Amino acid sequence: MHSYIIRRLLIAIPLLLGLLTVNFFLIHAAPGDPTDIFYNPDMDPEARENLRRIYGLDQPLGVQYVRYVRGVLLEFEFGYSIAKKRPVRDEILEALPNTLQLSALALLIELTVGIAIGILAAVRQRSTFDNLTRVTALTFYSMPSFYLGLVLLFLFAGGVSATHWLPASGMIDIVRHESMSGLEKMGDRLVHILLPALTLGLGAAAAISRYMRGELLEVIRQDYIRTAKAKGLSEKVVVFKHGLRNALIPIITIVGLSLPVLFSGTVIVEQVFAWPGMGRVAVDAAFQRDYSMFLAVNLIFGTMVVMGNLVADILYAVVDPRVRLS
Amino acid sequence: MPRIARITLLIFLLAVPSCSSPSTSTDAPDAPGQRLIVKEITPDRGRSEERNLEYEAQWDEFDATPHDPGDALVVGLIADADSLNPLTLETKNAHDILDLLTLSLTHINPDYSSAPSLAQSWEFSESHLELTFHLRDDVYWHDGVKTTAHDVCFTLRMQQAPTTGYPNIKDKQYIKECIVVDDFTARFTFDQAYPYQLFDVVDGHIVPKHILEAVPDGEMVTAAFNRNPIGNGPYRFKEWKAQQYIEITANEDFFAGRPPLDRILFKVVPDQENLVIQLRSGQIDFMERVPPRFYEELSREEDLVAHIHPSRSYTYIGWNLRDPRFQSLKVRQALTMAINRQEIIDSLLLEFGDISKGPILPIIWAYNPNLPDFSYDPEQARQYLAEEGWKDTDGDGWLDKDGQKFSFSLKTNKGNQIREDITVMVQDMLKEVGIEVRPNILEWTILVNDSTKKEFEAIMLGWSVNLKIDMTTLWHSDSISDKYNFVSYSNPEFDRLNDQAVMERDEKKARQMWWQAQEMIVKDQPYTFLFTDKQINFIHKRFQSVQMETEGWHYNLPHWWVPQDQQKY
Repeated sequence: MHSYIIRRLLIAIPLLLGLLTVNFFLIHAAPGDPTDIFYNPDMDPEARENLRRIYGLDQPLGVQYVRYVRGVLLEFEFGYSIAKKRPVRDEILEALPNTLQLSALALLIELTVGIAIGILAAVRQRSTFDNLTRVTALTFYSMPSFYLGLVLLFLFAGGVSATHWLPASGMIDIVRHESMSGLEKMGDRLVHILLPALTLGLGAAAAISRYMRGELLEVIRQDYIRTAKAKGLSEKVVVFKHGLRNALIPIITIVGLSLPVLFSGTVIVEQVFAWPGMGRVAVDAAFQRDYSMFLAVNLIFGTMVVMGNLVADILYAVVDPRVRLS
Repeated sequence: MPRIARITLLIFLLAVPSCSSPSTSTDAPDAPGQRLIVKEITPDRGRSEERNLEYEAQWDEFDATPHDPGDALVVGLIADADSLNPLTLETKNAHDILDLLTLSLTHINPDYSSAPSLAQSWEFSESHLELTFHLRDDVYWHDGVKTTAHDVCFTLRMQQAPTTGYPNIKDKQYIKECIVVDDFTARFTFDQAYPYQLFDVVDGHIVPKHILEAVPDGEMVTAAFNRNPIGNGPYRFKEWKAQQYIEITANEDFFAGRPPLDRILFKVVPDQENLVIQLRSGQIDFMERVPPRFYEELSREEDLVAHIHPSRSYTYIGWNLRDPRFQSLKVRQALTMAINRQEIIDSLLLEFGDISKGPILPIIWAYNPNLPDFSYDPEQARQYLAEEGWKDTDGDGWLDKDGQKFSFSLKTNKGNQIREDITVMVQDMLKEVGIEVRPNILEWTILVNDSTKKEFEAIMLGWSVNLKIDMTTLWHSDSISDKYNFVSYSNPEFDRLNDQAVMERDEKKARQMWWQAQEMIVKDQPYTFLFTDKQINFIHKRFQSVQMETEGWHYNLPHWWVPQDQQKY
């Protein structure tokens, strides 16, 4: 398995380099100049030229490319952000952990809620619960994340009658956080992450629940399940010990495929809930034509997707002993 | 303290109109900036001292008021700041915060006159080629070092160095040098006397020499100081969490006393709906530039108070004068008359806007109240167009001339809903007179690129108007090859008047010239001036002594306080 992982990681390098190259030339091909965000008639042309020099924009495109790739590969250096006026690396290092935190919790919600509802719906096939979850899952699955976010904001964060049970934005209570005890700080973080994580996780959970239900129904019709039942095993043991493990195999593949959707979902959700992560950095970079930031964000998201898929493949082998990674 | 806005494009800010507070009449023809001019033209030590006394009285009153210290103000910001270095920052939010952290030489009053701040007094030499500032000797940087004339002169040197990237370097072009007379006296010298000498010198905040002299000017734009500033104002910098918040705290050692509010937190929430929810539910205390559509809903909240004041911005449609169709004066006038500007205001800005007639707004001292207004008159518009040969010869409902249909694209930027809506309204209005408009909503940098290359037929944008009147950049023939006179407006008579008016130190003569210059532009209609808006701000009612003015919602923030029994934090 080790050689498989190493090989996959090595394959990822040209993949990411290709991604970086395509992005680099695409964004430079777009019309407009990044220094146009300083659309100020009082700005001296020399000052503008200096900005272009500082950000390397005065060099031929080929030189800019080689410099950029060399910086990324050799020094993990992504250049300076023209809009944020700071090294891109600093911005990324602040934002990335926040997005990982949010994505991890969203993934947890997606899996626990999705799998739990899927199992219940399967074992109570054609019951009211099954019908209700079918409708609910379809509703959540078809709802765009920004809309679901706004609905949750209105319901729980002060939109109705000016009452709010949960905070509408950010990671912490910026006024009181400093004076809180350790436990309170944890609670504070939890209540802040809840709405964005639910927004991000519920839609995906809806899909997982349907897949889970379908897979489990498929599995419990298999001969070995019938055999298990015939041997007198309880329903619980049959479902959880024999049925679930087999039904989970395709779910892991689906989770692996859903990772890109999850990461791209952060772009919207972080904007709605002012979550200070990579999604917001991405939006700002795109609107402000912040070349260095834009390229770095794409590279990081690309890396996250590649790594996510690798983890999914490994988990696949763990769950299904028939699969050998080689 | 608040910095004078530049002629800077407002595009991003603009979804949000603004305008007159009851106390600040927008139609007083001789209002605000006039006094500034008079004072600059006839400065003398006596006047300075008189203003100094007024200022001290303001602080005395502040000290004497039974204000309770404590509590925090949470300000909702739609976007993060870019830098808190006075030499490099570009965004308005950063300016607002910096005004509380760092002093300028003088403080701009609500009537746009200058009051003492870091400088206690100032005087011009007889030749008017030297301007000497006498600084307070009790102002300290937040790291404990005293603020001196060395800092003042260092600031000018850095502002004038082209590689620093100081955005308003043009304001410093006529200043020859700054001389340190002694630790608390700085003298500025000029090559020539002109009306805006004081204005140009005091524009911008002073920076600490002992910290920034180690940074090469070419690297100022990426200096660590940008995100960890040391100021000398009533509040001191505490923390900046990117995309989350910036916190500043009361400066216990401020020369005029500790400001009452303990902390001010600028909370970044990049979504307007979310900001409004947080305002209603008390998660933020203040929101600036509330879109008009939320006004009624927020006015019903018992805990909130609205502050409305004029903005210094206007929105316009610029006609590309290189296009033969728009070279006709009558066609341009007809286009303006075919657009019902009042309907646009009523529909999109509700009551928070006024028709703008020209490039100078009513709140600016040089505003000419007698400008022709080319009010809505589609019949007259049709007639003008017919006189220029634009008639519907083939009966298809569209005007044509020499076989060419009168059709043009109207470009504007994405992300400003009001502008996007206006393009549709203008499309409907011009259809009534037989002109086809094709709205073209573009991403910001692409729009700028198109305007710079003059690749547009009509373009809708907005400008924020500086108090310092100089129309060269936008309207002078010499600027056609530059970036901002993208409509290619050229009028030699206007050029002559503008050049004279910019250097005219006699306020009455200058005003006369600016009146004529405005008339020329308005008659020529290179732009259809659409509207100027009113700025709506909402704040929690527990804050006392709140005054909000056109030149900054935070104008007197160091005076704000909350009674003990109402304090929330």
